[in-house]
Amino acid sequence: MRKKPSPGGDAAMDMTPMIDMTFQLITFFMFVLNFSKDAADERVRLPIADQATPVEGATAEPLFLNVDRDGKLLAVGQAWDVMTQGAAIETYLSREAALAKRNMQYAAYTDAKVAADLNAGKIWSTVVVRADHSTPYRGIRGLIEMCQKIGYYKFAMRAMPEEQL
Amino acid sequence: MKRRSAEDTKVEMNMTPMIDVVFQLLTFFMFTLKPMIHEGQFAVSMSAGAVAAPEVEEFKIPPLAVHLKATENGDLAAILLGDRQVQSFVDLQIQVQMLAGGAMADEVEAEIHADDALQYSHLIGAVNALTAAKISKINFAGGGS
Repeated sequence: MRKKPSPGGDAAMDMTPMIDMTFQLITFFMFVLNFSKDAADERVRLPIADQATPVEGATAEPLFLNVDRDGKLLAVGQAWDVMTQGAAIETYLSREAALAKRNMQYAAYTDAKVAADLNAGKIWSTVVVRADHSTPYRGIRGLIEMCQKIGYYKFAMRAMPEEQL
Repeated sequence: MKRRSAEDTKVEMNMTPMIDVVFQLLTFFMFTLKPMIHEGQFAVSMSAGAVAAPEVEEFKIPPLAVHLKATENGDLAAILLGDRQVQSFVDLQIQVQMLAGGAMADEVEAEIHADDALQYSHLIGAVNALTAAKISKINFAGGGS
């Protein structure tokens, strides 16, 4: 049997469903895109702890300390050995502390507690420790002691509430 | 002058550039997608270095000392609650609950003494066990050998 020739000859494809679907996909990816990277370093594999409180919302004025499996602090694109490059790390922490103190000075005009903390040399930022599960404790302890010496007193130790696939 | 009919002046929009851009955007978002990982945390409050010790001695329940001993390669060798050895973190949780459970748990502070070589996951294991035993005040003492 002979095939009938198409009546118009020029068959235009209806693009509307494809464009609709593509826009839906773009909207989806835009919503799930995580712009706040939280300074979370992917090289750090956190330990697992089922009692860890899920982090809700952003931590106010956080100072993230990512420590890799060799006990090196990953910050500003560098890996600093906590044991041998303590001076460089302390300079970095002091610079961060100075920035936090400047913000505290503004807040101290309206908040008496912040003013009291500022006078006592305490810094309101939370030090978020993100350390690799296999890193030795000595590095973490060294960092915590440095932070305490500078005036940080709020710490948060990150862990995974459950195993990630 | 004769007016042109509507059929003659029908303008078809060229969709190709728009579809190109849309696919570019889609590709960008697909490649930059990083699945959101929900992390948890333990809040620990420690004294700042500049803060002086209080002058007035208050009555305080002595802290529960948890010692974590490590092997040379950082594995957990022993867990001690005070001077008594416990078998595991689950055992530690049970022992702490027996010692400081119930209403007292809010008052009691735990102090973790870990060896320097100990792997961080074991330290978090101890913090996890103490948190499970409703101890919220956890402190870290200086490291051991």
